[in-house]
Amino acid sequence: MSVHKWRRRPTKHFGEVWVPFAQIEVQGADDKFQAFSLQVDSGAVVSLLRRSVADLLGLDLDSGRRIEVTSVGGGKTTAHVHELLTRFAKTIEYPVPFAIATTEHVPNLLGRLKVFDSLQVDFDGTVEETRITAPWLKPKDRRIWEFLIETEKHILARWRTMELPDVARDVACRFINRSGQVLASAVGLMKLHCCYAAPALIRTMFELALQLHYLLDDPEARAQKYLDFTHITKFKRSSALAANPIGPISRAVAASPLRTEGEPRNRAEYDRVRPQFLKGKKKKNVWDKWYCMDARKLAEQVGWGGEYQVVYTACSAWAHGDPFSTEEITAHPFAGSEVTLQPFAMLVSGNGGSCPVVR
Amino acid sequence: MRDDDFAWLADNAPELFREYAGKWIAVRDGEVVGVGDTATQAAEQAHETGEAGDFILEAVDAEADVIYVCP
Repeated sequence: MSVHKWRRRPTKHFGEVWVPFAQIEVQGADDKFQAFSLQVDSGAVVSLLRRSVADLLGLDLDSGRRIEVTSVGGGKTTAHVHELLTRFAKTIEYPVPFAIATTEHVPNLLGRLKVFDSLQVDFDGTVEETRITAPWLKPKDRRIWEFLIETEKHILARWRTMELPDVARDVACRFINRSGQVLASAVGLMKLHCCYAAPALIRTMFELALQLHYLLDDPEARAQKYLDFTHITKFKRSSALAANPIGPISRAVAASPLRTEGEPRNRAEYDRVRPQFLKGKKKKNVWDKWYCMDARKLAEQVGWGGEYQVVYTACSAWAHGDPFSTEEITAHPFAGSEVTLQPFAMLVSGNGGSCPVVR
Repeated sequence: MRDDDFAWLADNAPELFREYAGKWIAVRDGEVVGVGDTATQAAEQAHETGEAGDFILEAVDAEADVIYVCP
């Protein structure tokens, strides 16, 4: 990704305005690159350069296809189109058509063709800068992405016709909505080429999917159990905070006047639901999961034991900074394997993506 | 890429506009090292004090509100 700060420029009718600029490098006839700073114009179909750029880059201006460019005011200028190897950031480089005018009396503009339709161009008025980033999906990945979107639509369409008790539908929707939030976060990271954090999100999605699967095997009873577990979490969390007033938040909780009323209520609800969640033969302790087993058992119960080993354990190792997971991908036996294995290699070892590596 | 020089152009845009509107300028290491009516003139001046290509070129437009439509 490259970041390009905007400029303040005076205008005839609107005073000073922000104008987006970008830095590019263009290859000349001698194969050397020259850096240019030019205005970004989403209204221009093609990028435009002044006549002297052709001379500077050693181009035969007339050899390019002749076109006419028109200003909105109506003035016409002749230009010739040349396709020039252009660098937008250290890692983004490909041919871009430029209309090079036969005069100096035009602005240099970075237009749409092969720029806006090939890259992610993010105009961010919040911080007055434009971020230019490589596409977040390659063509083959885009087909997979479109397939996933279609699949999601089908699943949701079927979901709406599914007969479920109200309580189960409510709980299932909680899992589905949380998955939607995680997926939206993943897309955001992918667009920024920061998908190295994917294992943490995949782990979350996997856990949600396991729970949803388990819920739907006995919807009504399990949905109620899930809702009851709220009281376990609430009681345990507030008790732990009040018992350890170390730090400003826990001290504020411990000193709260609402405790006198709230604690007995929380305790009563906890005692009411607690018998469902007791663990072990002595039944002394309470499970920390509403489904009363660990994730591996849950996966086995819903028939996903294999996926648990392949997906969940690898992602958990990544999330916990396991030494195998923090090895660089080049040191891993999957390094150099087929492209289709790369995402998996990223999951089990190394940071893989474009995350800066500290040495 | 000449990120520092591009940032310098942004940071000093008002002053550069006042001084160089309508001209091409070449900037190297936070300094205007070439000025001219064409890219070649500005680049030739810049070459006198450094390596070819180790600067960034900008045409400082006199008018910011001219919109161009290219077919």
